[in-house]
Amino acid sequence: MNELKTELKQLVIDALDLEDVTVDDIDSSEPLFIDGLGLDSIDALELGLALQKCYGIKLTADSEETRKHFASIDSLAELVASHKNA
Amino acid sequence: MDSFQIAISDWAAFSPQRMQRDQWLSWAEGSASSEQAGYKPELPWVNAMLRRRLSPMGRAALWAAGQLLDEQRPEPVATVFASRHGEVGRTVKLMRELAAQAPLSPASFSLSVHNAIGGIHSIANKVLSPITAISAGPDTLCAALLEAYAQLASPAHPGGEVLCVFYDDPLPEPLDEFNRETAEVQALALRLALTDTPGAVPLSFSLGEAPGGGAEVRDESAQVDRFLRFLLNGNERVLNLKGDRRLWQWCKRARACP
Repeated sequence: MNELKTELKQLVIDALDLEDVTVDDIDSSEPLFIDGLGLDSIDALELGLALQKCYGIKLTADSEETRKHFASIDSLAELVASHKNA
Repeated sequence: MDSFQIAISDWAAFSPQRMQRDQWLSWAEGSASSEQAGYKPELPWVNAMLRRRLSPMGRAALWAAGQLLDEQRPEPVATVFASRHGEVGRTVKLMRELAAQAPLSPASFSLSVHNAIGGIHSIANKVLSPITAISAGPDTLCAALLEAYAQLASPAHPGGEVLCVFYDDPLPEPLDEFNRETAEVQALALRLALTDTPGAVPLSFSLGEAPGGGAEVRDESAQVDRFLRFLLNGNERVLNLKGDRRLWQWCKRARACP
């Protein structure tokens, strides 16, 4: 799981052009959007695309469930792990 | 023919080869490049989360604009962003993805629109005044200056100054065969006013029919380069810029103008 979290942090950094942010700067439990890392709505769309490209995960934009998955690296890792096991 | 009067009170220009005023002044005098390439525009006043979205050209544009904004000077009453091809590098990449039926990058799409750089400028500098984004083919430079003139002449803005920002990159492959001009300036910012202030360059301009009608424009160097050279080089008094069937005539007002 930790390996997956590191992988997802790197994905977030690469897909969203986060300058000067390293994997170590991202706390797995901190919020990705607005507070915490400070991502915005364009990032949410871009991240959705990256998840689709890398893991074949399709999410409905702006659903309550997607919001939950996008809360933090921890919740994203759970989503990706459950998708891999499915 | 009507002619209009305008004054340029300040300027800043950026290219990877030149960014300081004296470098541009010697460029305008025709001095050879010092070959000190590789400048990168630093934008410490733009939040890192916003800055990451800017292309190198967008950074150049906002750097030039930023050089002309400070607390000692009144805020411009309006800002005009002008680019002939805009973020064409992003657009070409998006078109390629579309052709391959690959999903488009939402971030790249949102930044490929013509007012994206002006939008980031307004967020970064908390600009609440009007911002225009212009693209007008070979008339881009002069159309933007005409827009600046119109904003200044508006009764809503007595005595104000307008900020004009020009930026362009060479066309990328596969459009590069349409590159007819070589450009040195990647981004140029000008502050314009209707009234002459000490140190400003007073200009007048008029618009006429281009001789030869719709003849294809084949200037060897880009209009922004030619305009900046005209502005900085004291020996140049008149500048004719050919647009699409139009001729824009610029003249320094210190001496006799037609």
